[in-house]
Amino acid sequence: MHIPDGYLSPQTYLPAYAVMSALWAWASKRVNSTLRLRQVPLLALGAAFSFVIMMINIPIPGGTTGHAVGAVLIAVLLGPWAAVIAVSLALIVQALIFGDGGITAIGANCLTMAVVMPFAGWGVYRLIAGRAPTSGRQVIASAIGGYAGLNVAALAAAVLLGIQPSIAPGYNPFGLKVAVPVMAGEHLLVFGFVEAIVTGLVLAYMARTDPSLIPAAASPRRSLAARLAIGLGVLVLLTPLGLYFPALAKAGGAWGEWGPDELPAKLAEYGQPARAPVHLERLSAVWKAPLPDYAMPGLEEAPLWQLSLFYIVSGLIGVLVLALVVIGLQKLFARKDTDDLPAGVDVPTGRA
Amino acid sequence: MISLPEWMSPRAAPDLPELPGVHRSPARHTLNGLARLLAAMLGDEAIAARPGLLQRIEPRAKAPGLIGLVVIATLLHSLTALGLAYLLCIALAAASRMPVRRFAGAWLAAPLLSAFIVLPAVLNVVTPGEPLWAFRLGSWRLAVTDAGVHFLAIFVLRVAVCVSLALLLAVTTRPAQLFRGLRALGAPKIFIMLLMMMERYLTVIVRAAEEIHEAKLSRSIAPGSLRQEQAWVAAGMGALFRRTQKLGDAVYLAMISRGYTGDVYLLDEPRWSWREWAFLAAAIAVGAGLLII
Repeated sequence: MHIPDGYLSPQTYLPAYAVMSALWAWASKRVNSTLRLRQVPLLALGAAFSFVIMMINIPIPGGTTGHAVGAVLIAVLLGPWAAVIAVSLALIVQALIFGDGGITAIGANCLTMAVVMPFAGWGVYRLIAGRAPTSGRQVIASAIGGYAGLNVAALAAAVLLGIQPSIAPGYNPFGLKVAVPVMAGEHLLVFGFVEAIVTGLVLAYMARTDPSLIPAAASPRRSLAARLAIGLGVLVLLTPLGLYFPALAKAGGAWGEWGPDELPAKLAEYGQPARAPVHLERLSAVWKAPLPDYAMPGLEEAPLWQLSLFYIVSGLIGVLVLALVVIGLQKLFARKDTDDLPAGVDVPTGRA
Repeated sequence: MISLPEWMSPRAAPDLPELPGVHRSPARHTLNGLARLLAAMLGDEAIAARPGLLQRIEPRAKAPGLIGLVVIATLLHSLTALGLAYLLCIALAAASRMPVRRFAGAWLAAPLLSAFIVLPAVLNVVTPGEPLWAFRLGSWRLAVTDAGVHFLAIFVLRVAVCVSLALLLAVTTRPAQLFRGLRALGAPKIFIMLLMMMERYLTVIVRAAEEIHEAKLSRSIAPGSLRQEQAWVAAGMGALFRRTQKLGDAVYLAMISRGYTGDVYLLDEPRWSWREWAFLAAAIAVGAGLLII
């Protein structure tokens, strides 16, 4: 998964560097504030450990060997932010001293293997292991986390490589249609399992010999509202997938949701008179939506990335409007309830 | 200058002899890889100590100069410019007394591998253009196009130039000095210190991994079942992690016993001479020239 020099255009590797610079700064600040001075040598040695892990071969069925990246393992053992720094350092030394992975691609390689992989894998691990995990559950969670982390990272690398023909021809020549299936295929079928086996078995060894080495999951510090907001934010950011997948598959609008402008063509396909029903035309003219098709009025045919931005903006507006309506209704009805109660009854507000 | 004895040179890191019944053991494979890594680190140190052109340049000028040229190489789309850049790399390698064997890895192996990976791009299905040679593959009508061949030549040359420049930087500079050179590119001090510490202890961790594998191999007659072998490799990694943590604690104690308070001080850098200015000026001139061609 180490992308060499020459495969990524400057339009890709420069933004990757910019993102990584910010993440490195944030990661070192976070690591500094949590574990202070003791963390400094541990991070350097963790990086050396990460480097060596990538060189240790494990037998796989078929008489061959494979090796793991180990980013999820380090995230589980040292925490995801420490993994960001340790794996980044290992990748930088690999690129600068040993020529494995390009110098210009360091940012992109760190983004996939030192950020996407540990966070995706660690997230899955935490989700499955839960708050008070047994060792068996931890082992299974870490194996699935390793599998998921590597595959998400491979997908991210494939997307970085696959967008080259459309944003800057002359670099990696294979588009998303080739890069994604090739990378996803080999990682889903082979390397993902290697990563899962390594991560799970190392955790099993730790659980058997010295469980104190596996950090217990800290109780979540964020409030319910904050977690809800983060979840909603992620969903809003994912909404453009609803544009990309139909565009990729060259699909039309949703079946049965045709407007009076699309309906005649559809009816003609089925051998019906190509005319929208009179009442449909009359009623659909009653209300003009301010954001038709979740896009700016008049910009429904804009390029996909512009439409994606409007999708996200529409998502945000939708969430805000709904939240305001719900909060308003809550205020309204909560007051009504208290008004109905006899005087002197104390109503718990739900806030401590 | 002390040169490395022959048995320590990268070439002398022999693959362990294969024994009947234990052939293709992953542990052997790992040991060979680790031995080659240590040998390469020692071999590169020896090259960095040779009296050559690039070895004389202070890393704070060499790192930005050569990395800048790598960035410019990724911007080039002209065959002439890339060809000239490639010739420049060979000239620099010769002037820096780079052994042909070490340079050939970047000079030939990396470009050939890239050529193999992007070979389908010469076909009309990936790069449309004037067909140079048409053929049939089953029911498919394929053709090698002129645009495809042009793309392949530029792509492979660009990879060769980038990899050669990166190798020149890595091999002609001691790692600790190379990291110090990153200061000139704006890397923070704590980052440089972490890289230096990591490089310093990498050999220790590699040795620890070697010991774990050697101990296993010297005590086994035949490999176990797949599951046993996998569990053993994982246990080895777990043991390596515990060693890493212990070593981290020991290093931390050593650091505070010497008065470490979290502030990072790097040793005074040597002063710049006319050589550094001349090198940077040449790098800028070459970069600008390549972009204009």
